[in-house]
Amino acid sequence: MPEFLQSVALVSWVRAVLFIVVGFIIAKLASRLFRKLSDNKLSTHHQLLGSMLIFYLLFMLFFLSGLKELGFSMSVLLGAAGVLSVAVGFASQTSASNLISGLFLIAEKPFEVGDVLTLNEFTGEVIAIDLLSIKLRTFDNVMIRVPNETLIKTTFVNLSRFPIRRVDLVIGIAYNEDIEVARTVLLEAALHHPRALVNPEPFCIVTMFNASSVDLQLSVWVVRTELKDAKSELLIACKKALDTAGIEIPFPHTSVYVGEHTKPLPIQLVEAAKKHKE
Amino acid sequence: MHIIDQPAQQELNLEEKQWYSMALGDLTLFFQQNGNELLTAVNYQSRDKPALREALRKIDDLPQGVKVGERLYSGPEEESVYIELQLADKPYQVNADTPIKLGPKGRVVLYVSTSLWVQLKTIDTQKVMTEYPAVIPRMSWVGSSSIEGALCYSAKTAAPSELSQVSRKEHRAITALEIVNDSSHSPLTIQRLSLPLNMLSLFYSESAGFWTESIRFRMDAETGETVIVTSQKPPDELGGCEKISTARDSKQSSRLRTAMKLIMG
Repeated sequence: MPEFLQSVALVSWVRAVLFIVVGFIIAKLASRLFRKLSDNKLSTHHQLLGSMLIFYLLFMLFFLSGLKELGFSMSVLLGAAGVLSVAVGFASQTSASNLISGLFLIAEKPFEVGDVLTLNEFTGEVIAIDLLSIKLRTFDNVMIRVPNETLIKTTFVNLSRFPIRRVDLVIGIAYNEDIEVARTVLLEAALHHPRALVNPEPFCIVTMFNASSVDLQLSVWVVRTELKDAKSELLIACKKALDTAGIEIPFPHTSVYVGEHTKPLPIQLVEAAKKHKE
Repeated sequence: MHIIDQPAQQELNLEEKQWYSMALGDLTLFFQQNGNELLTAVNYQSRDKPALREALRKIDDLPQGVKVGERLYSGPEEESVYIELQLADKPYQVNADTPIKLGPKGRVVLYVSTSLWVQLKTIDTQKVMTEYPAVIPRMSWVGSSSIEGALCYSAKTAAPSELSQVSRKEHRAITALEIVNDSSHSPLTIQRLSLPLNMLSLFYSESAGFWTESIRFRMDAETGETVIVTSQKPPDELGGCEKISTARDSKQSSRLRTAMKLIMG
């Protein structure tokens, strides 16, 4: 190849690379600027979506300009892109599915960064919503990557969607206790607890005649952010209140009845047996 | 750093390394000037005596079990700090002991009292460095459902309709609420009211104690429409009251109307 042609090609390559590199930097800067400007104005979710859109749009523009610099015809490229997309689509079905699921999730917005989700056996805080997956941080500080497709297909629970939550405490009392008195004692404990919301009011219902206890459910509304502390403190308050009122919380026990058709139960007094041997 | 004790506006200089205490309601607040920092500590204790407000006084040491809570620095250039009494930072849901029923075109004035807050503010920049409620408030939810509404504070009140029946406590501010039933046919039942305290100012006079602006609720029992009007001052019969702190949220007009959606809880 003649020397001058080589230098022309080199210049084009350099310019193309420059376009792509500069484009990448500009796109990154623009996306960061958008995040800064939209701070306190948009939700984290929308910030993320906006900044990603800005980045990919700008970067694609510069990338295509770079390709044009190398002599690629856009019409040919677009045609090729159609064919390529079919090929790529087959090759990367999972990624494409995750990508589309991610877009659906962004549009539906069932959770935001910072929300706490329960998904199968995992519970954690959403720390990132990306195009292919979301990242959860569990409370024991483990990162879990969940593909967007999984989120679209499975049921998950958003534990932090609403500002208030109800704590349901199941407390068993002995069969010989007065249920109405126990109910009043538990309700009083809840009504006087500083973390319990005044409205909606707490309530207490009988839920089951269990094997060893009559089960009562005390339901108390609390501020979502105080749920963990409130649950623990309420359980302590209920135990104290029941103890003060002299109401027994029974442990599982079994009553054995011996009828007249059975042989008498052999009973051995250990101390007496020892003395007898001596 | 020095402290002005409001509402008397008495300026006090704290001695270095000397603990001081003041009390309001269940709250006892402790201060110590330690070089360029102001140490604070708090203690909450239910009091038997209903009216309680102790001015700043010297104490030997922090009581047993009370620990330093915060170390305050007012800024690069040592700026003076003062105590300001303020109303709550959220609306108060006031639950009447007994439901109140107002006949068609009926009108009643109720007096309700709510706990004050103590703020430490910088004099020049008027920035709140820290604040504590005189009594730890209970939280409540006001809204049409458990997913739509807002968190606010809650208090039970006898809501007397005679000024002479109002028990004046030194850690509480009284609000005069005029409720008017605009309906010509239906009676209006009131069980709870949401007071937008964060949008009200605090007034004081030696004889009357702490008051807020009077509020008038015009409610239509049939349509549920409510209009609220504040009178910009406490009731006239109290005489001259001095405004000692302005509303936390001064963008009153538009927000007050929004708050009104929450009125009937």
